[in-house]
Amino acid sequence: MTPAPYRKLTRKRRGITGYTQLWMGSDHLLLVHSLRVVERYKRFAFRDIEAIVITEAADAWGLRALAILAAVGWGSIGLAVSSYGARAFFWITALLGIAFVVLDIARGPRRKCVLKTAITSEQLRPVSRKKTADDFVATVSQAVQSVQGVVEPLEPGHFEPASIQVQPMAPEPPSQETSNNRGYLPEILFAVLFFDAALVWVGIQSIFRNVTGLLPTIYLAELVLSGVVSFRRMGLGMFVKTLAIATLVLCVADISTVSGVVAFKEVMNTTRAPQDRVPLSSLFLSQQATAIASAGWRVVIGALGITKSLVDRLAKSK
Amino acid sequence: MWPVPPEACNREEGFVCPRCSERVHVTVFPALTRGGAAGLPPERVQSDTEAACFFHPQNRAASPCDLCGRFVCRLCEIQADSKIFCPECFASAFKANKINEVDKNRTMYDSVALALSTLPGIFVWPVLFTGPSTIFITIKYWKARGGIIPRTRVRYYLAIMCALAEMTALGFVIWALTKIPFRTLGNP
Repeated sequence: MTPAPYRKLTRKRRGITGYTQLWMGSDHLLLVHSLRVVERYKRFAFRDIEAIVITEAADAWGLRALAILAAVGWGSIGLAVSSYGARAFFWITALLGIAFVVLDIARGPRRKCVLKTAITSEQLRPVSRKKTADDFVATVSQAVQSVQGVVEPLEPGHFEPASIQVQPMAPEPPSQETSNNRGYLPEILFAVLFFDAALVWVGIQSIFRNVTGLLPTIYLAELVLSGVVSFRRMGLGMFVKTLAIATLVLCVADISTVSGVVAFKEVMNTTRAPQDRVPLSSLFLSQQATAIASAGWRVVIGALGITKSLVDRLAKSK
Repeated sequence: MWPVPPEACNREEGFVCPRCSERVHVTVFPALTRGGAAGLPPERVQSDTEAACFFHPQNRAASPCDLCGRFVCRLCEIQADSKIFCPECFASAFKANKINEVDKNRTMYDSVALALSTLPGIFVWPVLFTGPSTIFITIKYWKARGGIIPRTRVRYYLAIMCALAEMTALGFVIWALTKIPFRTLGNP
């Protein structure tokens, strides 16, 4: 048995567990999903392909700007560190972050591609950029046309709407689709806020001094999660979005004015000689007030967000 | 997303989705309106001299199964990998993942061998077990079919080289520990 000859259609779309890639056979498309040690295959015969739907996805300029700001902020910590090694670490990681965003912009506008057959609608993750999508549609259309016939521009009423509705493919109700797309990211964000409130409290109260070193990581997680929840289309309600944006704003404010100052002092203290270390206090508040303020807003937003999310899910399940 | 209004299909400029407000380009093909193509119906046996289907004695045989030789009607014949299968042979071959055209997954033994030879190396001692396992897997599955898409054997070569290097290094360390007098290590 000789394997069918395949031609590469797209580059590998890599993820944490593996990658997905599209290949073209003599009479079908092959979607390969690799989990490193196992490859899973899905085939779409040209004679069965009914439609290709390309959606122009949002380019997430807000997230990109946020990522660059975060990277610049991260890199600026390097200016405050005396050790060459620590300085190089902060600058290199910040540059990597900026390079990632620049690469994302250079790859072009985002697209989402769905391939429809009579029995399934499959999202093709490797087709995620405009250039790839254009090439994919051109190549596959040609192959499908050679099997099914020529595709012509359809005028209104060219085919009866009923002819579409009789297809076995039944669209999902909008509410169910919204709840599926939403995922659990908002709940994760609010749970992280609860957890962070405890860490911030412990860190600033100096019960365990090294805990303060966790604060930059906490800020990064909060910034990324709240940024994604704020700007990504996930079918969230206005209240949850407002809470996410408030988290983003308060997190940035907290870094620059309240507990962040304490955290970065602690990080910098680790690079200083014991006699040169600076006391931990924010610019504006006492240590106790700093702890209350920075843990307090996290608890309040976390509680409101978790409650609202649970209420929404219960309402939808009913 | 579906159904899409007919006037929005096959338009270069696409259309703006009323639900998500994003521009959507829809390319439809004749299969959308044509529906699924049905297979040919089986023919009835007209006389006793005609060969009948093994599974449907009332149907005329259309072809023999390429694996077991049973006659099958048009209803039962399954074409895959340029062969004709009867339903039973197809089911067993499908279960054993032996039909290229329909297999859903394959294990990449070269990746398994490479992972086995490299990852445990971090902890050093597991190499005692994973090194020989890597060599065993490489030899056993050297000729096993790989993935459907083109793939070289470079992972097998790397796995063997890593495993041999690790085992040699570990063997040397063990030999050194047994041969060097203990007092020379820490108590001069």
